[in-house]
Amino acid sequence: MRCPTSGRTLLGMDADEIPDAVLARRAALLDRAAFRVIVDRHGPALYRYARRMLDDPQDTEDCVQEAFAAAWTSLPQFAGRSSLRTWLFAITAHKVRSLQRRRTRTAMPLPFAPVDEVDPRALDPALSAEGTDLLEALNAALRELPPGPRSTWLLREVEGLSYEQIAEVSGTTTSTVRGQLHRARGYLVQRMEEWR
Amino acid sequence: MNGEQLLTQAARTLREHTDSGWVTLRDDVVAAAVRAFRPSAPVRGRLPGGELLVASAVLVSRVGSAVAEVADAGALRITCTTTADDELDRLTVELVALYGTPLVPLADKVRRAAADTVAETLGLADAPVDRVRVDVSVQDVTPDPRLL
Repeated sequence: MRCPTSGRTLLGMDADEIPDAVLARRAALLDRAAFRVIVDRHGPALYRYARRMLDDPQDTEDCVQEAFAAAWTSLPQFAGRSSLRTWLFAITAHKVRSLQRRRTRTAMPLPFAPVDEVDPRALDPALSAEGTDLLEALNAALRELPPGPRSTWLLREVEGLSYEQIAEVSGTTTSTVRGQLHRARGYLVQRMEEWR
Repeated sequence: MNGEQLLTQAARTLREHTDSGWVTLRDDVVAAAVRAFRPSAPVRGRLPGGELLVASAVLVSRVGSAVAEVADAGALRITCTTTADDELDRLTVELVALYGTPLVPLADKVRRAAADTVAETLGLADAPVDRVRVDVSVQDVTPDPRLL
């Protein structure tokens, strides 16, 4: 005999087990606990992406803040045609492009600050130092890429989006995505070879 | 390691990396986002000394919380329509039900929970089951309770 499920609250469940689609529709109904889980689940990746696209900590903060505020207000219209993750990346990428356009009208970007990249919670100091060197080299190489190929490489190789999802996020075609990825990979391999 | 292997390793390191900037920003992000205004139509309610206007987003949210307490059902979408005078005209609750649950009693529980919440939120003396249409639509069934 099947026991009926009891009345549910988010706090009574393991948040990791709740699918994105369920969180999205609860957050659409102003469920703040569900929205907090969405932020915790996707925030690190969105911040990581925006940080490397904007090269500036303050712009990154503004971008991610604005992206999540836009997500909160737009969730009732989120129809689930794409995954929540792709939808959030699309909002963030749009904010990134807006900030980049605004920036070209004002000042040159600030240099990437390596100190911001050290994770204080790293477990192994030796591995952390090695990883930080590698990350700094990658960050430096990424800065040299134009925004389109840089965004495509980050979304594909770091965040694991499909070509179709990247095309949706970037408002372009999959053939453009393929071309950008090919160019970005070739350049980054060359720069990492030089770093070695 | 050649450049390709280094790039693969660097990508993996970056994938597992959480920027310290995010750690400090996280709480602010949630607080700022939920302060963002969701525009929605007003719904007219009653107070002992006058009238009350409640944003439809607030009404929908409260009905959503009430429906979440009904076992074996989850709200997919809740919408309400109002008259030209901002009176509540119709509330629609779209549901996903747990597979095997008898649907008619379930829909009745949801309808009652929604109507009671509308009455409480709008200051109505009785649940508006006769005056206001509360429609329940079972859109999906799932064997997985996590999807409710």
